[in-house]
Amino acid sequence: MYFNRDPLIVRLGKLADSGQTGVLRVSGALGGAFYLSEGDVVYAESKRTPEPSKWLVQPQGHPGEAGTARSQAPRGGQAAAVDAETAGSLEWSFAVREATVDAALELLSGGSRNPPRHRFRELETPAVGRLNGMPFPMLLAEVTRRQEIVKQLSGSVTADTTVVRNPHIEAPGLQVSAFQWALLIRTGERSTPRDLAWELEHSVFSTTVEVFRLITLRLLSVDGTSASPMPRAADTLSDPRRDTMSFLRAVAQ
Amino acid sequence: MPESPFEALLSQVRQIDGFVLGCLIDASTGMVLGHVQDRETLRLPVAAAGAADVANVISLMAGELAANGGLEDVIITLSGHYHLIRHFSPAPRLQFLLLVVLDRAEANLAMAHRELRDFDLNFVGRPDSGLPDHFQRV
Repeated sequence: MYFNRDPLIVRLGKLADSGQTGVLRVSGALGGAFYLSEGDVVYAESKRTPEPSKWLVQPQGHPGEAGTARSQAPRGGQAAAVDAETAGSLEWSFAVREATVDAALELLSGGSRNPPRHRFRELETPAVGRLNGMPFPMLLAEVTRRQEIVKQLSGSVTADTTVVRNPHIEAPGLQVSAFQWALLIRTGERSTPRDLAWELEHSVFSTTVEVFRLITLRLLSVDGTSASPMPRAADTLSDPRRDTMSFLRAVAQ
Repeated sequence: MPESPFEALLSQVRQIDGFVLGCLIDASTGMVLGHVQDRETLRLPVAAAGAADVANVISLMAGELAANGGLEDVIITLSGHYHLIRHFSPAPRLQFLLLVVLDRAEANLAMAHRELRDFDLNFVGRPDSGLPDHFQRV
C-alpha cells in the first residue's frame, strides 16, 4: 500500500489546488479522512470527534429522537446516508460544517513527532448528501482561528482536561443556556469536554468553549483546582489573560 | 452547486437600506457560516469576531445577573457605520448571530432594527424557511 510522505496539510493543499475529487484517508489511532469534491472539502471525519449524524440531526427522523443506531455507531464511522431534503436544510448544513471543521482541527493539529500516514483514493464520496464544500483556504483559516482560541483556553481547559461541578456557588442566582445546563447535569466525577461532546453529540471544540464559559461562571472547575469563591481578583493579578477568550484576538494576531 | 443555505438566508437582509455587510456567525464558536457583502470596505473576519466577542460578553453578563433572558440584539454606533447584532435561532439547537453592518449616511436605524426583528421572528415555520417539516414542528 502506498502512503504519501508529504505533511498532511501540504498534501491536502496540493489535492485542493489540483481540484481533486476523492478521499484522503489518514491512518493511525488519531486518524480520519478528508472528502474532497473538485478541490473543496465537503466533509471530514476523525476518530476523536463526533460525526454530524450523531449530534444535530437524525436522518429520516425527528431531531429529538435518540436512535439506537446512533448510540451504537462506532467513533469516527462514516456518516449515515441522508435524504435530499435533510441534506439541503440549514440544520444539516451546519451540522456537517461544524463536524468537518472539528475533525479538521483534530487532524491538522497533530504533533510532528509521528506524522500520520495518508493515502488518497479518487471518486470516493461521503454519504452526507449534496452540500457545498469549503474551499481549502477557508477551512485552513478557520482551523488556524480555532487553534488560536485553543491556545487561549489552554491555560484553563483543554478538550481532555477533567472538570468537576463546583459545589460552592456563591452567587445568589446564575443563568445558563440550555446547552450549558445539559453540560452541567452530565458532568460526572471524571468528565472531560471531549467525553461530554460525545455524550451530547456536539462538536468537541464548541463543547470545550462552553465548558470554559461555565468555568468563567464558576459553575465548573478543573479537577484538582478548587474554585475559590472569589477567583477573579487573584487570577487577574497573576495572569490578566488567563480567564479571557477573545475571538477578535484570534483573528487579529 | 447552488449557493449555501446560509447565503440564501442572508440575501433577505440585503434589502435593508444602507446595507454594507451581512454575516451569519455560530454564537458558540464564532465561526462565520456565510456572508453577503456589497462593499469591500470592511474586514469580514474582524467584524464577525468583534460581534461574537460582544455577544459572548453580554451572555456572560446576563448569566452573572441571572437576567431572566438572554441577548436579543446589540446596536453599535460607529461614526460611519451601524453594527446590528441579532441573536438568531432558526432551529432549536442552532444558536446563531446575525451581524448586519449599515452605512450611517444611508440607513434608517429604527427601520433596520425593526426589519431585523421581523426577519428573526418570522423565520421559523415560514414555508420558505428552508427547513424540513419535521424541524418546523419543533
